[in-house]
This record gives sequence, structure tokens and C-alpha cells, in this order.
Amino acid sequence: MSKQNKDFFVGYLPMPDDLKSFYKWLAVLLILIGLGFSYWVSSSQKSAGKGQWLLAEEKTYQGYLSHDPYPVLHIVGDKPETIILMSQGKHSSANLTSALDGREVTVTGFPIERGGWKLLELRDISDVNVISSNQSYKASSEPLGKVTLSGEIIDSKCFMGVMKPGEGKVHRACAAMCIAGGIPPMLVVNQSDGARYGYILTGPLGQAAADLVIDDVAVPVSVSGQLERRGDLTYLRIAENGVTRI
Amino acid sequence: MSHDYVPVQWNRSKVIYDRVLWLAIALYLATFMAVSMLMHTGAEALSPMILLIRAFATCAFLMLSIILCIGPLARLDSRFLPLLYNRRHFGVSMFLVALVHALLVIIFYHSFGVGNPLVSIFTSPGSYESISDFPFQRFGAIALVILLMMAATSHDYWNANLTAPVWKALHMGVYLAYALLIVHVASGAMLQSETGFLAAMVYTSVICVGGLHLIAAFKSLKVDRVGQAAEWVGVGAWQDIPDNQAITVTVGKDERVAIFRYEGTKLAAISNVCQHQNGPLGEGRVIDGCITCPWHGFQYRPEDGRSPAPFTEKVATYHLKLEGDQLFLNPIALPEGSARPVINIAAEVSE
Repeated sequence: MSKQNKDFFVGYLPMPDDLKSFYKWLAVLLILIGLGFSYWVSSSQKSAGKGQWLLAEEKTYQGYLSHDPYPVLHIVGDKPETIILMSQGKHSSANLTSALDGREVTVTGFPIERGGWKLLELRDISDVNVISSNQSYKASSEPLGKVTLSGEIIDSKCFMGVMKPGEGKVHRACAAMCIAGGIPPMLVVNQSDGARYGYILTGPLGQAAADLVIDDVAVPVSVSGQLERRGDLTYLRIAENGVTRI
Repeated sequence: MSHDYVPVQWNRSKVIYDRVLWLAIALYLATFMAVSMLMHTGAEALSPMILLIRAFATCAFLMLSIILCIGPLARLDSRFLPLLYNRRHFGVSMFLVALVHALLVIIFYHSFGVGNPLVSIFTSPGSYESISDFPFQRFGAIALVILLMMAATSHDYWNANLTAPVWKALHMGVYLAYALLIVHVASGAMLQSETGFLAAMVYTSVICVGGLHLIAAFKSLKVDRVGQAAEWVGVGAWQDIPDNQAITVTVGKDERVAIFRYEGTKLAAISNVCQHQNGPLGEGRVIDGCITCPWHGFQYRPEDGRSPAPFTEKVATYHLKLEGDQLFLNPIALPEGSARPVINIAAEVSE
């Protein structure tokens, strides 16, 4: 080392001793700051609810296919239940199920569950088997009146457990792509007691609502329309110009 | 001081720097994942891919904030110069961490649906009418492109071929990238965060980066501004210049000249701007008879402003004259690499 280099750092020369001890402490300090920051940021994350995507628990259900307008399976009998059906990725299962509307079938897939909601992700046409080709079924619809509700429009697949969290602005592009692909959009409403309710959104004529809501997903909105119940699902039929930003 | 270009001119400093850096990155990511997975278990577990997206995002933001603090810190305290020496590895590492974040976002948020994932970054819902509706993804994407350009041109090959001023201007794009990332976070994840930790992260970063730059700029303003061009201008007594070090003066509009004293009694003036990355030569030292840049150790001979062979860099030189013990500078720059007599006090006294 040159005589002149006792207190001046040159990268390709040995580091001066004073700087060596400075950097031993600085390296430790910087790493500790990084770890502290990491712990702080990580521990500040909120829960995303108790939704689950049960990829290790393939299940088969028997019931009647319906498109209300989104594909669902109505299970009738002692324990009636309605399961929302969808395909893999950000796609509706309509291409697998629309030709079988009203038929009794078995469907096999991976459940997505949150609270009382149940969804089933199908892989391909082999997951849908017709039990009876003659029998038809149409779920009864019960009107529940006009409402105006405030909340956030989400895609039901991610919100129910595929993405955790599957809501909020960061998830906006994903939600929009899911809804554009036919995943049922839902309005999630937070109650003052902390409970959260979901309403499947349809157009004024009961049609798929993707085009009506896609620009307003993942932001605070107010939605007006007609509530109705089919199976054990609650639908909100959006009135004309019924979506308003808050 | 690259002569033959190799991917990385490794030395002990760079190896230690990179090992500590990547150890810190690995510890950061591991801590983030471990804490998240321990705090949110069972049915409340957060999605691993979203944890990864968040871990890489916050890590990259922290890294960029530190990178932007290194420059002013090194100007304020020379002990931080070793952090600056290998800062480009820090920058490329930060880009790689940010790239992983971006790829995970593209895969999980923008893929497996209708449409092109890359196009969807720029077409997903949003408008510029309110901050809550800002399409924050676009700002992050543009910032990543800028960081990509910087990482791709970080090697000295590009520095030499683009020329130092062009290369420097390109790499000043980091400030634009930083500003875009502030908007990206502030109009995206920060809006969604109810705990305020992201806001605290952004505000702390802006205060540290902005504050240090202001303090360093204020210090730079204190550099003596002497006279107009075409005049001999006094720069003070030669004894006030520490041996093997320099004083820096500004002449004309914004031309900086470093006046070095070396070997006790010799005096020479050269441009303050290193040809490598425009480093401040006046903050360097004379080592083994050569003026040595504090940033990356590029060297120039005081006699003619040329790098010793086989290197070919050269900087402008200036005439000095002595009247009594007062030193005078001729502010007209000589062509880069021009030899001119250096003042040797010992010789003048002996005559």
C-alpha cells in the first residue's frame, strides 16, 4: 500500500485499517436495519380472511347445472347448496357447461371456500359428467326488493380464496381480467359489525355484468338495483346506470 | 480503469461488497416470508406468491433508496466512498430484485386470462382524474424499463463508448425512475395499506434521499467561485492545500478545477471531472504520483492529465503561477492531456 493511502479508499488497493473497522460495524448495522425493516413491513400485513383454495382436496358434487347467468351447480335434497363453477385461470366454465344447462350432472374440481360460499374450479370437460340427459331443472327466483349498497366490486374467484388478498387496488388488474374472462363479479359490502356480505352482480336484464362493472372494480362504489335470491345465492341485478363511484 | 473489457474486474473489495449485499438481500427476503407465514397461518394464510411480490417490492424500494443516499453521503463523508465504489453492482442487484417483483406480478395478476399480460399492464382500468384511480402499474413498468436500460449499460464498455457525459445523463434517469416508483407505490399499494407502514416507508425514503441531496448540494455551493475566464485568478496561499490533496474552484459558468499539491512542494491544476463517470477528482488523492479519483480509482498524471499507460483517459489541464506564496490559476483550459510546467516550490526557492 502506498504511504499516501492510509486514510483514502481505492477499490483495487487494500482497504485502510480505519475503514475496515468502520465497515465491519456499518455492514452489521445495515443488515440489522434491513432485517428490522423487513420484520416491520411483514408483520404489518393484515389478514385477508379465511378463504381457502383447496388444491389438495379434489371433490365431486352432484346437482343441476344452471347459468344464472354464471354457471352454478344447484344441489337439491336434504342439504340444498349452490356452488359457483369456474374454469382454471381467469376463465368462466361456461365453455364446459353451457350446453348442459338444466341437466343433472356430477362436477369434479378443486373447492374454493370462504364463509358460507363455495366455488369449484373445473379443469376440463372430463370433470363434467351427465347423469340424466332428460331431466331439466330451473332454480326458483325470489325477489327481495330494491336496494342501494356501498362496497367494492371484486371477482369472486380471487376474493374467495385463490388470491389472498384478492381485493383492493393492487389486485385491480387481476380482478378486471377475471371478470372479463367470465368469473362472476361480486359486490362486497362491509357491515358496521365487521361482517362482510357478497352479492353476485348481473345486468338489468339478468345478463352477465362484466361490461357494466369492469371499469369500477376495486374502487369504492355504490350499486343500485334489485336484489333476488336463487338457490342459496343472492344476486344484485344492477339498475340502469346503477354503479356510482364514491 | 478498463483496458480490455471483461464482464467484471473482480477484486477483493468487490467480492466482499457483493457477498454482504446478497447476504443482506437473502436475509431480508427470508425474514419477510418467515414472519408473514408465522403470523398468518391456517385458513388465514396469505398467498405465498403475493408474499413474494411484496417481499421483492419492498426490498427493491429499500435498495433504491439506499443507493440514492450513497452519492450524497460520500460527498459529505469520505468514509462512505467504498459504498460508492461498487454501487453499480448494488444497482444491478436492485434491478434484478425489482425484475422478480415485476415478473411475479405479470404472472399472477396479468396472466392466465383474456388478452396479452404485458398489454394488460397498460390497459387495465384506471384514469388520471384522481389519485385513487391512478393506473399505478404503468408507472412501475416505465420505471423498470429505465432501470433495465441503466443495468444494461452499467458496464464500462458502454461508459467509454457512449462517452462519460452521455452515459452520466442516461444514468441520471435513476431519479426519474425513483419519482415514478414513488407514484407507483403512493397510488397503488400505499392506498390499500390501512396500517400506514407503506406511507411511513415512502415518506422516510423521500426525506432521506431528498434531505441528503440538499445537504450535499449546499456543500457543493461552498466551492470557491473565482473570476472570469481569460484572467489570472488568485486561489489563495499554496500552503493551504494539504499535501497529496486538492482544493476545488469554479471558474467561468460552472467549470470546476482541482488544484493539487503533491510531493510536498509540487502544484498542478487539472479538470475536476473524471473521464470515467465524472467523479470529483478534487476530492481524490495523489497516490503513487498519480491523481486518483475517489469514486473508482481512475488515475491521471499531474504533469499532463493523462492516465498512465496502458490506459488512455485524459482530462484538461491548467496553468498555475506563483507570486510570493499566493497561487494564481489561468482559467483557460488546455486541451485534454496537455503537458505544461508544474510549479515546484522547492525548485523555485532553490533558484
